Amino acid sequence: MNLDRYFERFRNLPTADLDVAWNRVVDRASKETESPHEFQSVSAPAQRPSRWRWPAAAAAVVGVALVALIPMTVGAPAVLEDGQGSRKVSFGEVVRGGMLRFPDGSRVQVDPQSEVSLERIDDGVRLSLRKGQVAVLSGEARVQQGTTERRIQQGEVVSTVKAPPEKFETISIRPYSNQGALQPGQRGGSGPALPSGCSGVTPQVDPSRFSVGNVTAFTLLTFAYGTTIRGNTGGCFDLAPLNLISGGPDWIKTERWDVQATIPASLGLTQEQIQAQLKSGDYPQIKKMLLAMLEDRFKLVLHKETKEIPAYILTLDKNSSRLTATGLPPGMPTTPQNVQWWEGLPSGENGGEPGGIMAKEAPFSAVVPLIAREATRPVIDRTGLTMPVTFWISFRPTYNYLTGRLVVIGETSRLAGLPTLQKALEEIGLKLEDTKVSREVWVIERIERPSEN
Amino acid sequence: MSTLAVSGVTSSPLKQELEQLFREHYQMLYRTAYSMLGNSADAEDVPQTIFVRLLRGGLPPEMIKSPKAYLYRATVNASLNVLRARKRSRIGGNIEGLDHPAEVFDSTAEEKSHRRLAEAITELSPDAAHILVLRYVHSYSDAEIAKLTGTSRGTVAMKLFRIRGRLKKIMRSLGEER
Repeated sequence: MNLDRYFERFRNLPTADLDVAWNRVVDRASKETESPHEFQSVSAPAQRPSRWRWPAAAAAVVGVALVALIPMTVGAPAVLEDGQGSRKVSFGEVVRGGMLRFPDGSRVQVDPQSEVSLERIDDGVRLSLRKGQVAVLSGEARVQQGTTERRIQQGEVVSTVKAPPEKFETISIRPYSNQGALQPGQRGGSGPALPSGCSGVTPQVDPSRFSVGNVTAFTLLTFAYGTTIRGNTGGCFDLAPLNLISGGPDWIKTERWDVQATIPASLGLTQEQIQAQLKSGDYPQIKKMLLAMLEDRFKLVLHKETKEIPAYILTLDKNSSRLTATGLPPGMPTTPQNVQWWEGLPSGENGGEPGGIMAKEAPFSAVVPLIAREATRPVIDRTGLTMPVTFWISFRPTYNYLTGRLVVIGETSRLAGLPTLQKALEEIGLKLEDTKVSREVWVIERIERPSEN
Repeated sequence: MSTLAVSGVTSSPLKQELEQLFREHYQMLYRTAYSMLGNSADAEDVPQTIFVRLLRGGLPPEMIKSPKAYLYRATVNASLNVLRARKRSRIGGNIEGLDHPAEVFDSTAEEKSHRRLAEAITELSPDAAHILVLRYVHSYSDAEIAKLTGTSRGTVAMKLFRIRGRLKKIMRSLGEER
């Protein structure tokens, strides 16, 4: 028995993405019970006869209750054992994970992502399962749903959760054709090509449909990888400079397609939830569907690896008095948009323009991707800024997101005197510090033009 | 031109504090859970669930004194519960959702041996599991473990000695001997 050898593999695990992990925590903490799910149970034969019968049932959301014929006792109806030890559970208290132990010895395991509460009824205790999954570890349970009753045996599991769908129901992919003539040899349609490979399009997504037109395969890949989708200058343009997707033939960045797909009704998300997911970049089910579509229709084969890449941590200089300035900076253009980014042309073309970021009463979370794009590195926000910000900075451009190329500025260029991005941020009390983060990298091994519908 | 105006900065103090603790300790907690559970899904879920509860319920008094020790203990305890639930589900039948396959085992012989060790660890008391993980996953010294657990170096050394002995005994009873 070599403990060192056994534990060695756990000592150097890849660095977790703290932003994603924390966002999940906040999201879970704020979620309320979703709309009713279909009752679903998984049965398994009991291995031993139950020592004690309690006509209780693990509950689904609507009309299903877990009723325990547990003699009413004064005081707490059950004890919860979880990661923090043992404690009594009161009627009405919501339990999220752990094992419930009843006075008669019955035990029910509550899955960590579930919500269960105890209700007092005439002849015992009822477990109400709002969401998630419970397993009856000992005893026997009676389940009622509407007028149907059945017994749940020891060892059986009851769940309100259905496995989320993983594929679009129907998919239509056609070459994009606009009013103008197609370029010779270009199947995917005409229009100015963006060498970065990004189409600058925003998908239209609602609970039943995913639709995007004039889109390159590369852009679809960035959507499948996962990026914030917030208007036609976000998304792919944020991801492209980080070089997290590589390989593939040239056409994936130049040829364009119209894609329409139907989303299964069982996805169960509202329009608001979908939009929030797309804006935050955390849309796991839709990502799976997009990747499945690329694999099926574009015959995509890729391999994934985890790499440590350079990144920045963005912090706030709390002692800086510049943060208390109010009003719009002098000369700041008025604009109806909350956040505006402009990219200077590469130096040498039409004289070149400064890089810049302008935000007008914009949530800081919308600004961070712009900083990351210009910095060509992931940026981890540790500023703690949660309220809207207004600022305007100009700096020496380093990256042209339209061309996907770094900008080279000669010594005699009028842009040479501008501050770097780091300096410009420091002037307003923000600081970029070097760090490294683990990121998944996709390498395209194979991809083909889509098959016929 | 560079100016910055902030329209007002407020955020829940509890949330801010928890986020800071999360960023400071999550990697350690994740590694702890992973070393016990053997898969990234459960290893992410355990510490995240702990923080979800803290966000909803506030900080318990015992956490204020030493957040790191509290979070670590909670993670080990929660991981042990998951392991025990897996074990019960294997005894009670094919219960879905309570078992994720381990991701880390390689060759068959090594896999067998390590699975037995993983099972043996579930038989340890929470205290013993805490110390084991601190030593072998986080490479804490006796002195550091003593400080974190509020005991003495001598006690830690003795406990580790006993833990190793106990594990050997359990593994012998599971049919593994080295």
